[in-house]
Amino acid sequence: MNEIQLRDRLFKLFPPETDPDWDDVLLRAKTSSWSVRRLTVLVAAAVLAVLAVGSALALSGRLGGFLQGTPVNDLTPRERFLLSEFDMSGKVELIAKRNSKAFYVIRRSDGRLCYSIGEIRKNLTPFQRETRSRFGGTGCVDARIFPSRAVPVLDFSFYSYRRGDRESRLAGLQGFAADPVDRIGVIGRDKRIVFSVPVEDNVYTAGRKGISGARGVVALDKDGKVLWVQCTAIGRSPAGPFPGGGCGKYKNSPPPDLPPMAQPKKPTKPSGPVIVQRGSGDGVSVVVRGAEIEAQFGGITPETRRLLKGKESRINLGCFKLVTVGGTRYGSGVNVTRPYTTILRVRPYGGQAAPFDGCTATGMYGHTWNDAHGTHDAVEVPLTPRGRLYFAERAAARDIAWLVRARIFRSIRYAREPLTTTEVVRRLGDHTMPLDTPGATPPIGKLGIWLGDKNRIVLVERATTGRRLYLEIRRGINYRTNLVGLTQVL
Amino acid sequence: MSHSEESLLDQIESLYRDRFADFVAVAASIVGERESAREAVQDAFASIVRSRRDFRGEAPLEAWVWRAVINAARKKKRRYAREAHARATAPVMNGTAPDREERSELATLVAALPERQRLVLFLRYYADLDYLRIAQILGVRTGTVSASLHAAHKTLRQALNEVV
Repeated sequence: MNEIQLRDRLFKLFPPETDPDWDDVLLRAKTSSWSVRRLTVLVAAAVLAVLAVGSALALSGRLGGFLQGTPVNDLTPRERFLLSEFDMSGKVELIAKRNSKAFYVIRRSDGRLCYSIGEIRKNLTPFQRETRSRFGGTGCVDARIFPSRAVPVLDFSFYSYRRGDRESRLAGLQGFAADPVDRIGVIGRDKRIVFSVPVEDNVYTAGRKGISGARGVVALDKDGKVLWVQCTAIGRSPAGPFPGGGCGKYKNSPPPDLPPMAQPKKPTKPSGPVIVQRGSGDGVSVVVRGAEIEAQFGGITPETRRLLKGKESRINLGCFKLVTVGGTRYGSGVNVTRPYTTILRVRPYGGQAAPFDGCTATGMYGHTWNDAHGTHDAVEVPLTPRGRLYFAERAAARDIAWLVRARIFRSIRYAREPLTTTEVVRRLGDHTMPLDTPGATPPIGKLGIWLGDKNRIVLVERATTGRRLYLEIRRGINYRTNLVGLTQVL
Repeated sequence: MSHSEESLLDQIESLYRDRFADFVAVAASIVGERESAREAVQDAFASIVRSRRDFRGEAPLEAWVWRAVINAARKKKRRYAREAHARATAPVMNGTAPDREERSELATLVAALPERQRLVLFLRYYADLDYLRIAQILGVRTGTVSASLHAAHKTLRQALNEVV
């Protein structure tokens, strides 16, 4: 018995626990410590004092520091990854909940604030918790601009227009507002305030109420005085479904009068030596020099060339680096679509540069489960050992992910009558095999299936790296998986 | 909470989320029972969160956390043993319900190893830690880690060759 076999047996003996509960840890840490409890009371008192002072100061000068919320400590790895991808990493606080909406502020380490509004999430499966982001509309703003006397409202409202509608509709009135703002009003098609919602805890929302012909929003103080106006009917005359002609007496508030922010000096030369990487795979050699990617397709087989060129003769070339967030690995990269040539040299937009973990080239073709193209991209060029592992694991993950989205799987996933594993394997073909238990693992190259009570389905595949990949479905809903980060489609 | 404290709490949370499965498995190798192992890990992290100001940074944070988990598991084992004694039943190593003879055989063999060997085995092969980190966690020399691992491996190999 070698080390790998021993490791496998230990993992069989103790299948990895997958449900860490950090909230429970924090609760235990709090409940058994009187000193922490006392500290909490003191902090709460201090916060109340600060808020009281803040309210008193609210009408003079800037209105900063008014948004205090509950720290959000249970961000999923995917949420953390998404925030970092959009340069919004920081401390997340829940400001308020209204109707089905949750309002967040994200305090970036550079002091800039980002704001986000998302749906309140309830009764999610572990899979949904891991893959769905709580953040909906999100934006960052210079703290000198909002909250300020000139801009006391950060409006996240959205409009909808569907074919056949006579006019556009304010579909989601929502946003953040500074302390002096008591209500948010909507300017209707007759240029008067036709609807208003209260501001509570510095947030507002009209829930699902839609307002047709809305021209803009106004911020009102508790005496009904207009503090700020945002008129969206800015065309000269009514044009099609979108209102124009202004908002009558409600004139757009002027932008804040602020000195321009000091722009960071752009480096005239690269700050360090340009990193050069070389790699080859599937007959393609790749050289990456900083942000420039050069791919030579001279060595590809006629079949790969045919696949890459397809009907449109355009290929997609990209490189990625692997980012580990909260134990989950994600690919973050750049890619471009270009006409096919034997030597392709590109500098993708996005600013990412070497070192990358791998590059890929694909054609404009689609995939179906278990098709002749397989689950690897037409060209995969690993540039690091972990890039090579990623390609291997992604291929196995795609096999599972593409199956669950395939038409052939629908009748299995949503079966009204219980099916046997044998019957399912018969339908799917000899690429699949039945599993004795949900914790079993098929040999490499096979997709294992286990069926249990209440439409419980477990799909398992072992990657060539030895990693066991799985997806569990309960009552047709993705319940639990470790495919996150490896495949986009699920 | 100061910035450094917040940052430390983030690091602890990150370790917890990344290595939760490893912590539970290693704790189970001590306690001999999965549910209690999970409890031990939760208790350990609660204690770590409370006493994070005591972390002096002399050793890596991960080693400090691992030591706390192991200590919590040992504490849980003592309590578990007292309760088992009261019920006049012996604790057994119980991963998942052993649905195969091979699994329960391995569980018995692992449970029979001396605690240090068992710990080194799990820290090395389950948690994938290197010898130096294991030595820091257990407060022993790397040579001791190597010797313990060798002894554990040898015992299991000999026994498993007979049963598998």
